[in-house]
Amino acid sequence: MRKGFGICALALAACSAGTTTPASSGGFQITVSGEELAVSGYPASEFVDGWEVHLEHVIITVENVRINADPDKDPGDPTVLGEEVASVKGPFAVDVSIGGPVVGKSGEKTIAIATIDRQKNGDAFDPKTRYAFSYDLVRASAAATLTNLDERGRALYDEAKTKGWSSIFEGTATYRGPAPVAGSVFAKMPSEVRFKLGFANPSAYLNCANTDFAAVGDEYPRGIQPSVDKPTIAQITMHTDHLFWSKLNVEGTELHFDPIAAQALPPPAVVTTDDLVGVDISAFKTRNGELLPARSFSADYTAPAGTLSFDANQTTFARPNSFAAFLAYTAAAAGHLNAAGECAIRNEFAP
Amino acid sequence: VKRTLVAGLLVALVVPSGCGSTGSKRFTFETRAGGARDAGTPYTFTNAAGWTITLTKANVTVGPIYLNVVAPLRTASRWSLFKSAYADEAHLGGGRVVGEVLGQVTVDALSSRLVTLGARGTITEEQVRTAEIWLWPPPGIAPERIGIDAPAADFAGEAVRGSERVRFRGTIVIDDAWASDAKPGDITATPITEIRQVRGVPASFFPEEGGALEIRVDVKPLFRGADFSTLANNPVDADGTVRLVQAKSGPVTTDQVMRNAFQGLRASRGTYDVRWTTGDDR
Repeated sequence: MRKGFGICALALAACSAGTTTPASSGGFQITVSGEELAVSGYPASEFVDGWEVHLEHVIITVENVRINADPDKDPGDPTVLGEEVASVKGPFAVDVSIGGPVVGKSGEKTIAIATIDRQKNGDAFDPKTRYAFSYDLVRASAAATLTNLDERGRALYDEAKTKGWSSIFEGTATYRGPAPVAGSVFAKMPSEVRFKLGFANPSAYLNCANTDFAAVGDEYPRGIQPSVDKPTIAQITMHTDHLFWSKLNVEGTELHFDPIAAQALPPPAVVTTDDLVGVDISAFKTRNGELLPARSFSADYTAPAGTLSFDANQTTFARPNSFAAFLAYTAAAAGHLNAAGECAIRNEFAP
Repeated sequence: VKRTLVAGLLVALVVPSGCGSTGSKRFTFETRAGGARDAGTPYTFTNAAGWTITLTKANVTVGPIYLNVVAPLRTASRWSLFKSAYADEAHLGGGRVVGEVLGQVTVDALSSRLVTLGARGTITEEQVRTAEIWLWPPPGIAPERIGIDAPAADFAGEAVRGSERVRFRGTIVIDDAWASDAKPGDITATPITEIRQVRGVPASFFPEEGGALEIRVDVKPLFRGADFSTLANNPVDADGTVRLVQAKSGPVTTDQVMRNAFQGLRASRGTYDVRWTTGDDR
């Protein structure tokens, strides 16, 4: 693993980018995780429509990791922060489906991308103080450090640079549900679907809440806080399940793969983002133009009668009802802190 | 997914606790509502699916209305939407409500003429960044009651694409047809009260005493993605008018055009234009 490259903001002695060396006591180690779901995949029980999904590559580019004073400066607006006291520029390309040697918040494999030991003015962080934590996920860049990308990951990243993508999801889905009724829409769908979805959805994740802290009521305090006797991990956590949600601007829905599978041709064809641009979320159809019924094999979720549709929930797209736009928007909500801490999200794209 | 289930706390009933107070001046104001500035009867436009739509009727009932200091959706305020997945009302601010109009009006969206709401609003003199348009049932009906028959929107018209011609009519009632199927407390559950709210409508202004709130409702976004060729199974009136359907069960369930209209009615951008006017620009 390469060490010490990348650009630290101002004080080189205060932070180190692209390193796996743990931070000093009182400092922070910045890691990136896609959780176990990105590494091991989703069993069919997680999807209501019977699909088992394995993510082979989920690549993001992290930039501008920032630590600011006063995460609670404006309780009503989490984007209002105190001054920036430390930062790491990056960018770092990370494949969260591969992970790294650092054990994550949920026991998963994560990769360290930087350490921040001191404030940029040289002062130590105050162990009695919470600091705001923010970062950007940006478009693939030639300047990015390729932290853990394998050969296929590098090829995908080259494509992402060409196409301006900021997130890439490549994988395979296998249908494990009951045998479809002969002649039905579902019987015409392949039982194995490969997909490669790239999105130009750069976004800033601001003043994240931290689920390592004890909740106050139902709310987790924002920010990160150093420890006097050990380095503190700030884990940028990607929730890959957002890609399969059926409703925007909420935290958590049942998972669907049918709408993607419905656009598949027999293997080895791959469903790409381009295949989904013209797909209408208000009434999904198959690639052949047949209406796609909603279905569920989950005891916890009853599929509505009729055609499957997704809910944009107050969001509008440049191309009305575009499934690709829906996915780009929902995927942009994947960034969190320390497993499940929610961040204020500023999309740097128009869906 | 285990994580999301663990995170599945109760969805909150979003009820602002009243206007914020920072010591700024507080005053009452008048609210006027009407259709888009270019609206007229009939109102004709072409949508993204290539249909030229002529509306002959378009009524939308809005209110109450809240004015918030939080920034619009797609910037910071997605925070507030995420936060609304939690039970603690303290999250719901996602900012701070500084103004409110506790009234309701049915807008003829085919007329650009403004009508004045009976109820005067109150506001604290503070920068407003977003409005919340709530599509509440009429007074006397509890906002959390799911089964209602009061329309939030009622429209009729004709859509033409090439040789295709579809006369249609539809009524959106925000009732069980749009309610979440999830059990209360499940992470996917969304209370009907939340479904009856449009939050994060851009509205950047600093209110000054003597000014008025102006709300214009443009119904074009209700038909942006509507494809009238999908209505083959819908019921038809004796005169050939296709009835749009909102229903979770029955021979025809919610159709594509109705679903688009509902999404448009709840869109935070495009449908509602909220601004502060003074004597100079009224």
